[in-house]
Amino acid sequence: MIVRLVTRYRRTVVLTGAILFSFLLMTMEVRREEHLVPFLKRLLLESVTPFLKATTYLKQTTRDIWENYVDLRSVRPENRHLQEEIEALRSRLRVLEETGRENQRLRGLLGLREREPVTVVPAAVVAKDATNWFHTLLIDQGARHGIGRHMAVIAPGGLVGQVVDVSPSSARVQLITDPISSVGVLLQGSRVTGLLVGGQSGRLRIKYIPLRAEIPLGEGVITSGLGGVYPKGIVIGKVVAVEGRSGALFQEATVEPGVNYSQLEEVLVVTGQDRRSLRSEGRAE
Amino acid sequence: MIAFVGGLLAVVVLQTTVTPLVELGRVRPDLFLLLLYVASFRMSPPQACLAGCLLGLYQDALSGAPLGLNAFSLSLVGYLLVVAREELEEARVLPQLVLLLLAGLGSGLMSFGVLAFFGMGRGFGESLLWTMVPGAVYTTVIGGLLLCGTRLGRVVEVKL
Repeated sequence: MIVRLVTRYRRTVVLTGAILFSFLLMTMEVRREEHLVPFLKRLLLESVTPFLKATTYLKQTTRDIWENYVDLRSVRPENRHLQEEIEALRSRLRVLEETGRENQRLRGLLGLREREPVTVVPAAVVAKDATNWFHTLLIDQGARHGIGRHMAVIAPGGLVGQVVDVSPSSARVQLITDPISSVGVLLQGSRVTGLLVGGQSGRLRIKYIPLRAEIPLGEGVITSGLGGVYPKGIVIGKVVAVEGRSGALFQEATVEPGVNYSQLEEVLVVTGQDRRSLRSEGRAE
Repeated sequence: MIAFVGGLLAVVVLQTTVTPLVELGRVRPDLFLLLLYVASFRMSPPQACLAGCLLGLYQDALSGAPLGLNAFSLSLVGYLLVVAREELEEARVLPQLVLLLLAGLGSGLMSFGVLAFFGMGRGFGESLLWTMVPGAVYTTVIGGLLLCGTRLGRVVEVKL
């Protein structure tokens, strides 16, 4: 009887089943269920990660071969240019070394403790987000390499985001441009704090800036350390526009990031800073 | 079945590594939807529904989306695509492209609605302007190029 009914209404049964199954998965994920959803995600991800890693390896090898060929053609003038740059950097390094020594002396005088050394794990970006709704990346290092959730991810240009999902051999990084990302930030010159949020358009905005604060264009934006995920002092970008609507309680600023998120190939995952020290720094602000 | 699994693997790799290179204003074509659209030509409604569910699960696992978001929208879109196609002439290109555009828009609207339902909603105007419409149009353009390419290939084959 039941078999006959299912056969007769096969279309409806399959459609209802698929919809209910999807809804059930979403509900479990939103309620942070810790067994079936992470297991299913890991299973799906691990089944395709080798292909993604192989594609990235192939892409990088091809690019390296091409770049080596191009580099060889322009090596002599570049060498001369680099020699000049090394000289300039050496003299700058001498000044910085002196400043560092002075900083150490003054810290000692004021009784401030040294900052915890930050340890990082380098990782290659193997895949970008498969939808237009979220801004995330997949990296080739996972739990096996010491990566965990809520670890900050940086690149040479500044802050990239945080780890939100980890499987044994890969991890998902939520970019700071993601619509549901928010980062506590500090404006370098004016020392004003705010909340940096992403958006569907990928634009970065700082919310909750006090109305009385004067923010010059081009002012640097760094992480404030508040919240305990991102270490304090990581560069994010610079302010390119400030808006204060009449009647609003706060101003908003638009930020141009220092990292080109669409061309990221390698990142560093911050694995080793003592989180308690980060939180105490956050409170001290 | 083998062709579908091969297509799924190809789409997984292309969507996450190649489409970011051709994105326009942060918008990329949805190759998962395109594969479902092509595969649904030879499927019954329940088959297309299950195929959509599987494709959606992979798309969710490869994005920041909660698992089930795209599985929900693509299973419904897969089912509706086959049902709607029963009413269409397969030989005519324009209605097929309109169907693909509607599928893209429908999938975007469903994702928007489900995200809002689960408390992850975004502004409707911003989503429509930056994600739903450009995504559906881009996917339709790629679909149109594929469809025209296939037709052209067939014509050349017949003439030879």
